[in-house]
Parts: sequence; C-alpha cells; structure tokens
Amino acid sequence: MENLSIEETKYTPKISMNAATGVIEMTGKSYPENTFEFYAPVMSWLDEYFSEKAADITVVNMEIIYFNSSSSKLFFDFFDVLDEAKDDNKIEVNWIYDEDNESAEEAGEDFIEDFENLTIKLVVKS
Amino acid sequence: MAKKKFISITSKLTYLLSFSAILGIVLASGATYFHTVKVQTAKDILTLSQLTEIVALNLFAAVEFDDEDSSLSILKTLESNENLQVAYIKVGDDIFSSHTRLGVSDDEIKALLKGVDAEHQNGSSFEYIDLKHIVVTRPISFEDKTAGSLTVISDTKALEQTLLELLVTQALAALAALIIAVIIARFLQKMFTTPIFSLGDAIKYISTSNKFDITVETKSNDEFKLLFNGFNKMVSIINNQNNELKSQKEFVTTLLDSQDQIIVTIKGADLSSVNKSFLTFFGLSKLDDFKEQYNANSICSLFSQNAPKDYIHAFMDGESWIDYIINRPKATHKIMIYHNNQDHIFSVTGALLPSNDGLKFAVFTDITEVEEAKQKIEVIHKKTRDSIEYSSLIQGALIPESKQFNQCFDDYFSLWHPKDIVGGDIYFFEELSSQDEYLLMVIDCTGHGVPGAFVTMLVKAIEREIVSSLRSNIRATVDETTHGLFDSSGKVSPAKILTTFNRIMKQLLKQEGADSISNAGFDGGIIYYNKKEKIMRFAGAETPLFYMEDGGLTVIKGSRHSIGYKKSDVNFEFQEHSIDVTEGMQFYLTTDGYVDQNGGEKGFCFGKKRFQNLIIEHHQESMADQQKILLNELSSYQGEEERNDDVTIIGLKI
Repeated sequence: MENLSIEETKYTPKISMNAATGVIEMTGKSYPENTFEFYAPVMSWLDEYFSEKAADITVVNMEIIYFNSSSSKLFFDFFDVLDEAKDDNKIEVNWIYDEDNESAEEAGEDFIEDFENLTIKLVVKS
Repeated sequence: MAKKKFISITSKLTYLLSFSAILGIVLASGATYFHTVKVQTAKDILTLSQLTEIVALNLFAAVEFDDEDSSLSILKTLESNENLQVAYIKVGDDIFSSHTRLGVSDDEIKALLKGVDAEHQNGSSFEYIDLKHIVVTRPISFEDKTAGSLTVISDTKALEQTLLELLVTQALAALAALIIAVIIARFLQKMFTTPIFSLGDAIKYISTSNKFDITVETKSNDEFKLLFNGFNKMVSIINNQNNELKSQKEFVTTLLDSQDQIIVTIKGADLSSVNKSFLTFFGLSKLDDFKEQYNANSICSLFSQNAPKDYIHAFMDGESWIDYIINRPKATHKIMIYHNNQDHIFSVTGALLPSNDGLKFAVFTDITEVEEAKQKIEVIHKKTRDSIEYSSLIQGALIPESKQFNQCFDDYFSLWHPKDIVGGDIYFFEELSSQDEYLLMVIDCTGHGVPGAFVTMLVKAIEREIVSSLRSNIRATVDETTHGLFDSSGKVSPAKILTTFNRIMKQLLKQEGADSISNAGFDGGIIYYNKKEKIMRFAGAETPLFYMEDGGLTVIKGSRHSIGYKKSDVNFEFQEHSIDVTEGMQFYLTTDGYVDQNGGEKGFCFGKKRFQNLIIEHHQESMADQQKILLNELSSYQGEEERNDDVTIIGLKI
C-alpha cells in the first residue's frame, strides 16, 4: 500500500505513515477547522494498514505540541484503532512532549489511563 | 562659427609645396639677378672705361691739333666693341667730332645724348649706367693739359643677353621644381591621406550602419599602423560591448514582453518604452501609434475620471503620479484606466531606474477582476456578518441575566467570549425551585462560530426540556422520577442529566448509526446547588470543577466522556461528586478555550496549572477583579497568536 505524507501547516501537523517500515509520525500543532475531515485519510490509512499485512512492529511517534479538544477526541479514536489492532500486531506508541508542556504531558497521561493495554511511552524532551 | 571651406589635403600639400618651390626660385632668381646685374655691370663699365681711357689718350694729339679726320679714324676703332653705339669728342661745349655705329638713327642719338648732357657738362670723368645704356666720359688729356673729353655710349645688350640666359635657365629650373613639387605632393598625399581615407571610410560605415564589425588595414609600419591597431582594438571593444548590450537588451525585452503586467519606462512625463502587454492592452503595434491615437505622450492622460478619490490621478499633492508612487513605495496604489468602454483597475508600483538620465518605470497589474470579486465578496461578507451579528443577538438572549446570579451568590463573574461573533460556548443558570435550588451548566459545543452556535441552540432546547421536567418533578415522589434526571433517592442528579443530554443529542443528531454524518456534541459541566441544604453536586463531561476552600484549591476531574458524538456510549454513566458548601468557598467552571489557548515562548497551551495558580494567587480579590486578571493573563500569554476557541469561565462565591 502507499505511504501517506501530509505537509505541516500552521494548524495541522506533519504526518508521515510508512507501511513498509511501520513507522507513523505526527509532529506539530493540531487545531484544524474541521478536525475529523482533516484526519479522515489518516484514519482510513490506518484501517487499511491493519486490515492488510502490517509491518512486524508498528512504531507511532507523536509529538504534538498544541492541539484543540476535537483533535484530542480524534487522537482518542486513533488510539482506539491501535488498541483494537494490538492483539494481532506489535505496536509501540511514543508520546513525545516538551518538559514545559504540561498540557501535552497531561494528555499523554490520560491516554495511558484510557488505553492501559496499549504500550504508550511518555518521552520527555528537554 | 562660420563653417570652414573644405580643402583637401592633396590641394593643401600641392599649394604648400608649389608655393615653397616658387618662393625658393623667386628668392634664388632675385639674388642671382641682382648679383649678375652688379657683376656684369661693373665688368662692362670697367671694360668700357679702360677702352675709353686708351682711346682718349690716343686722341690728344688729334684734338690738340684740330685734326678731325684722324680723330674720326681713331673713334672708328671703337667699333671693335660690338656694343658701342656712339662715341663723340667734346671740346668745351662743342662737339669736335663724333662716330655713330651704322644703323643708329639720329633720333636715337639725340635721345641718348639728352640725358648725358644734363648729367655731364664739364668733361671730367663720368660713368653712368641705366638698364639700357652705359655712358663713360674721359678727359682727353696729356700730362697736365686737357684738350677735351671723350664720351662713349654703349648699349647693354651683353647684360641683357646674360640676364636673358639666366632667366631662361631659372624659368626652366622653376618649372622643374614645380613639377617635382606636384609629384611630391601627390606622393605625400597618397602616403598620408590613403590611410586617413580608409579610416574615414570605416568611421563612415560605423556611423551610418551603427555596426562595429569592421577592421582597417595598412601595409606601412609607422604611426598609422599604431593608429590603425588602436582603432581596431577600440572598435572591437565597442563591438563586444555592443553585442553584449544587444543581448542584454534582448533579454530584458523578452523578459518584459513575457510579463502579463503592463510595464512602461517614463522619461520626464512621457512614455519612453513599453512592453508587449501595454501594446496588447491598447491594441497597438508600436508606441508611436499610442501617441498618435490618443494624442498624448503620457499614460496619465488616460487615467479615468470615474476613479475614486483614493486612486492615483495625474497629479497628486503637486507631484506627478509616478513621483508620488515612487516616493511612497510601501503604500498600495491603484489606478483606473478607461479603455474599450470599461474602467480597468490596476495596482501600480514604480521605481527610479539606476541610470543618470532620470528614467523611471511603472508596473501595472490588472486587478479589475480581483477588485470586482473583492466588491462582491465584501457585499457577501457584509450580508453574512450582518446575519451573524443578528444571530448573536439571539444567542446573547440565551445568556442568563446577572440578577439571577446575584440572588443566589455573594459574588460571581461570568466570562463569555465567543471567538467569533457567535460561538459554541454557552452557559445556563436556572432556578429550579424558589430561592434554594439552582442549576448551572457550562457547555462547550463542537467547534465554534456558526456551527458551534447551532449546537448551542439545540442544547438550549434540550436544556429547556430538562429544566421544565426537573421543575415539575422536583417535588415528586421517588417512584415518579422516571425522566432519568434524579438519582435513586430522588435527588436532582447532574450525572443523570448529562446521560439524558447524551441520549437526546444522539437521537436528535441521528448519531446512532455507524454511517451518521453529524459528529457534533459537547463537553461541559453541570452544578446542582442546593442553597438550603448547603450542598453542591457536580458532574462533568471532559470538564473539571475547580474550587477554593480555606486557601486550598481542589480539582474535580470530569468523566472522560463527551456528550453526543458518534462514538459516545448512550448508556455511559457519568461520575457525580457531592461537595458540602461552606461560606467563602469559590467555584470555577471553565470550558477548555481558556486553558487550551496557545501562546508563550514555545506556543504551548496556557495549561491548567497556570490557571490554577492564578486562582490560588488571586482568590481573595473580588470576582470582578479575578475576571480582569484572568483575561489580562490570557491575552498576555496569547501574545501574537490567534484566539483559537470560545472562552467561558464562571466564577461563583458562596
């Protein structure tokens, strides 16, 4: 399947999803006007990725320094897909945040709480 | 200055050399002539004098003895001198005897004598010469005795002959010199003027054809060769520069012609050059046609009279339009040109070109369509804005009045700042039963602006339904509380109210199906306050409650579940918190707009911690002051960033 690559904008993060290597990365800010529409290709890519043969290990690196509440809901849905796929696939999530970014840290902690069976690692950048 | 007559170098050389030759000859001839005359004359006089003296000596006896015949025969001997014309002997005033060469007329003799007599009367020695005659007189004497005088007159034929020969020789010499001078002049002319002419031809070629592809050659190796080499080098340099200039000019022309914008250069006030777009716009083939067709040298005469005041006109504050534009490079300048029965609007920039002839250029970008579209958009925008502003009146009417809060709380603030004119944040405050039971809801609907506001309307409708149901059942028995708004002991339950909201929202927005397209909903917190029982119950959907008690801050996290949205669980049970309320407690309920605003150095969220610290720090101040502080802190943190969401905070003091 094809890789997905979305360039960073003022309101949306840089997204790269590589089916062959199994590396999924999101970096930047996320407060699009219509969050669900913006992330629709990401979600459908993910569905297709797990419905076909995924990589041996799927590594998700998320470094979102700023996001609005609807993005937060979207990430919940995103982790939900990972959560459902975790039994058949090896998945590792790195939630990367700046040490001063209290909201990002808190969000990461919430996700760990919400998806306790998913491997989510908090990675602090100093 | 009078124009000097053209005289060729050949003529000048010929004149000069001829003049020199002639002058040389004249001077030489003159000198020779006078020298010859002097020497020959002296020689002739001497010869004649000697002859005369000898003859005079021989004549003494004949004169003394009055023997005329012998005197005549002696005189006749003088004929040996072929130039001698007349000889006569004078005794006193009388002629004693005379001899005349044969063929000399009497008249001639008389004429000769006439001059002599006048000069010479006393018979002493005398010599006279003019150009025709030599006259010599010698006394006829012997020892101390003088008998008379002998006068001999000779012509100057010998002298003439000598002089004639001299003249002929010199004339021939002069002629030869003249011929040589002309030949030399021709040669010199050829030597000097041929290279000059070839140089002249080259210059003429350059000046008429304006081409520099020429070299000049000379066979000689002299200063001309140096001159030619220098000339060739100069022409070659100019040629190279010319070619470079030409290709640069072609490049610039191609570049300018490829532009959609009209680009013109202006000298003084007149158009100096224009690009293809200019000609295309005016339907012309060359700039001169413009000048002819519009009887104008400047484009500003076509600036439309209909142009609004803020457009550029031909003269602006005493400056020409182009200077006005050049002097205000940062401003946007618009020009309207009337052409083809239509006003065209251009955005114009200009600059002074870096040449010393004061050439300026202006670039006209046709923005007619953009301007028209802009006007249309402005109309649409105004309509939309008016419409939204009117909507905001409707939404504003939903906001509780302050007297409702005042009758319940000692102090309070309500901060409600939609990001746009209307917003997705809303809050409600309802009295459920007279003076002792109240319900506060702070709600953050999906999105903001118009879609957010639509959801608030829906939420308001559901809220009315719920509140009226609460009011009518609040005193009912436990068994009758079937609306899912009360807990098992019949008390008003914010958690149940949230569940009810969730159920109704999902129904109304048809979110039960997996293929539902509406994914709207809200996060929010609900407080039920029973003033009489001094109890507060709280339930939150992704919304926390903050409260201050005895200087300490407590945060009650809301449940991790939103209201509405496709994914939400219709049976989700929200967690309910009960708080015993004491005097002086302060409660804060906020949507995420405040804490999620980005800003600061790294663009992170404002954050809950920062919000909590502000509350702790300022909780003793009045609610109005706290509101001010919260707002100021937000805007200073936000800095240059945009507001991202609606902001709503309600602060209550018991």
